[in-house]
Amino acid sequence: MNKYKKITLDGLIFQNPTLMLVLGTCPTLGLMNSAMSALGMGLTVVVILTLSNIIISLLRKVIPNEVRIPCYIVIIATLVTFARMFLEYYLPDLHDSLGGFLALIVVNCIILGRAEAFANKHNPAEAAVDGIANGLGFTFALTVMGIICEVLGKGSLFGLHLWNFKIGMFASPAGAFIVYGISIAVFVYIIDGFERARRVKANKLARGNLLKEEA
Amino acid sequence: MTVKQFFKSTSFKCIISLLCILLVCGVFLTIAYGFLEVTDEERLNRAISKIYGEKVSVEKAPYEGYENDKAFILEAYKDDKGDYLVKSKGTGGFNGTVTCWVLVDVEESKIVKVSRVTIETSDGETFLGDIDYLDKFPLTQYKDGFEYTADNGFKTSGATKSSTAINNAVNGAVGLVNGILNGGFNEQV
Repeated sequence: MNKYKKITLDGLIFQNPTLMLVLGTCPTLGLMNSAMSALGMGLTVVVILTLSNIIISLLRKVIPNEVRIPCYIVIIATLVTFARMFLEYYLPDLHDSLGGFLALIVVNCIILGRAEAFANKHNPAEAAVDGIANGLGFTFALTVMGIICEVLGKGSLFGLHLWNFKIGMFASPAGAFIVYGISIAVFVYIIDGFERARRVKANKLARGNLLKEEA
Repeated sequence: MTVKQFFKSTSFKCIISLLCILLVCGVFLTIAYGFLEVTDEERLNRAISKIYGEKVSVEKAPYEGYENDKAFILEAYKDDKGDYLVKSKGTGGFNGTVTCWVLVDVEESKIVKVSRVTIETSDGETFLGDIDYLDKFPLTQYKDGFEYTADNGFKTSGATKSSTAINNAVNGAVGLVNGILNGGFNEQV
């Protein structure tokens, strides 16, 4: 399989940071009551994760191993601070809706995790693809769960009123936790189904080859 | 360890690397701040535009701090129509706080109604975070003909515990405006 295709599929599906690795849980639970905030947070993480991966990959041979984590934190904190300034200047509503969770991206384990596990071992192009894929995987999961929570908890979708029926619990972190758990279960079940089908297909192919050889 | 050994050591490389990264990041953020700085005045103008739906000129209301155990006034302004816009933080209910902008309509030096309540932030377990305008929120007080007294405070119908913080914030704002209009602050809110 193409190297970049594998990195992309891993980030989006097979190692989805939110639904498979259960990383970045704090902003996930905090921002799931609004689909727009979830989407905004996800896209912000895509940009920060991609840039941090590229910078860390470029500096991987310069940064001594002993101080790599403080260096990563400084780079990520700089990018997050810049993102905060940018959003406050150009998108103040999104900045306000993300609140304290925007600053908490600094300690988001997805970003630090990808820097440590991937970016410091691969070239900038691969690190960039990994950043985009993982960021989009996080955005996809957060937005889908945000839509579910907003529809159930507020009776609206991306701020547009749908109906008056609402279950208040789903607009709170407690309801978000339930939706998060069910989403993980459903996602893992679907991925597991694909994996099983792929294994069965591979086994059939291997058996067919074996029979051909015996014949 | 000699000085020469120190300069060749890994520790020195680590310190220099970290300092270089800090310096570059610091310079970058300083330059970015120069371009993307949002002043307090700009923030206030944005908040006012959001509440009124248009640009309105305001002046700072003459008060020197006002608080009680339920509400804390952060800012207060008088608009060009003579109405008051107050940023108030209320506590209570599920132990969270709600910070909101409260627009108190005044006619002939008398409060006539609270026309808008816009929540800016809510911290903790308030269960309130998406109330924008008063007409979307079921109120039993502050309609036309309203007369302010300490007992006739802002009260919501339903969700009484989760709305305690916002009730206190609005009552704090109304208490302040009442105090300003009567030449002294009313501590009973």
